[in-house]
Amino acid sequence: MEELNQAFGEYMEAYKALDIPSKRKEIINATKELIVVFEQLATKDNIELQYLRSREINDLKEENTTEDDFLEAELVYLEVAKNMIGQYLDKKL
Amino acid sequence: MKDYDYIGIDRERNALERGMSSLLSQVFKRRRGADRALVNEVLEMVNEMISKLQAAMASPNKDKLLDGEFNKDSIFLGSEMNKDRTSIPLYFELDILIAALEKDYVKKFENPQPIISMLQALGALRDQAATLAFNSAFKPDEPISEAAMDDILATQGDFEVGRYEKNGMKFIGIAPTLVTEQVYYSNGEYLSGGRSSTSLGKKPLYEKDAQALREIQNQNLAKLHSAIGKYFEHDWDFVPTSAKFFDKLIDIDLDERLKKRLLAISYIKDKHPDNYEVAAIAAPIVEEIIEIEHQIQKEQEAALTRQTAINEARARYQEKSGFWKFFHRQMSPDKLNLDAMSTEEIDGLYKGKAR
Repeated sequence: MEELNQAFGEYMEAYKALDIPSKRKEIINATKELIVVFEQLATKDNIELQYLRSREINDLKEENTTEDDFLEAELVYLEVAKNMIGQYLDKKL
Repeated sequence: MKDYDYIGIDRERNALERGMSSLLSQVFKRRRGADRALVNEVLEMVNEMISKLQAAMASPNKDKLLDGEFNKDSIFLGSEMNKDRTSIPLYFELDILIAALEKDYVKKFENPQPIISMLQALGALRDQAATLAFNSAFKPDEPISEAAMDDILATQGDFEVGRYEKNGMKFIGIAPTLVTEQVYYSNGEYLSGGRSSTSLGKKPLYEKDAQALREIQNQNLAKLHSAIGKYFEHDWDFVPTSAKFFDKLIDIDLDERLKKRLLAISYIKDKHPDNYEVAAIAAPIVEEIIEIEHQIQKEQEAALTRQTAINEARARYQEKSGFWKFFHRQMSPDKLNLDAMSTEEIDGLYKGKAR
């Protein structure tokens, strides 16, 4: 556990050094990892998941992303992840 | 000071100029055959306006001229059109008025001398208003190119200045007005043509001075091209339209003073794409841009280092994290390569398109 905390601490230190756009990207990617992992777990277990959809994520593809855009997109990704996890666990357990 | 932007100013100016010209044309049509009376009427109106402006310029409240408040007094022929456009700076309005009067009056009469005298007075007022705007605009900041500006103004006289404010950031732009069109031969004739309104009340620039100035400014321009081109990774010719340039500037993480300078350069370049003289205005900015370029380069290198650092730290953390350990137990890790997955793929995936 100590090793994990140390590695996480180093990760957080590296994160703190990033500029705001890079920090946003790191958060979005971390959420996407969660989505992808459960997507693949569901595929492996032959479980079909339903997905939330929202156009708010498209704003992230714009050149000049605002804080609003980021927060809205991040909420979409989080809710997608939560919904997927709920569906997966519901059918798995 | 009201907020306005250069793009807006250009747009408003064009609209006003068209509108005022149209208005005057309509007056002419309605009053065909009564030209003498019309001239007198216009002269009376404009002379009254000049008196008001001169009084205002001499008053302690002359700064109000910059706020457009004076415009609300319907002093202009175009006041009906621009009553809601009080953000247009006074010197712009005067310049527009001068241009419209020249176009619609001076050229239509055999003996336009009374109007020409009036235009000269208007030209002087316009210069006063522009100077007022210039001094006001630069008051809060340290002078950036005043020495160069003074040199140019001393010989060529006219300039435009404006402010822009968006998202809490203020920008200032400066540009000499049609300076290439005011180059004189030593005998007083124009070296090049252009709108005569801009030459009213100007000191002549003699040919030998013009050549020397042009030589210096060519060198400055080359430096400017190089610096700007390098900075934006584009050729100078590509850099501004104002709109693109301005949009770019808004979100670039740069020192505000540099933004002001870049905006000024953009404005100058837009207004005078082939004007070497204007480069002298921007020349003092070059050194600072180069310095900032170095800072930006250092920042980019640092950003790269930071990104490498977090990639490595993330990899070390993920090796030990419970989330990834669980996932690796469940699946063969080589089936998942997040780094190779594009944003589009992941977004497509969660939207169900990839299933």
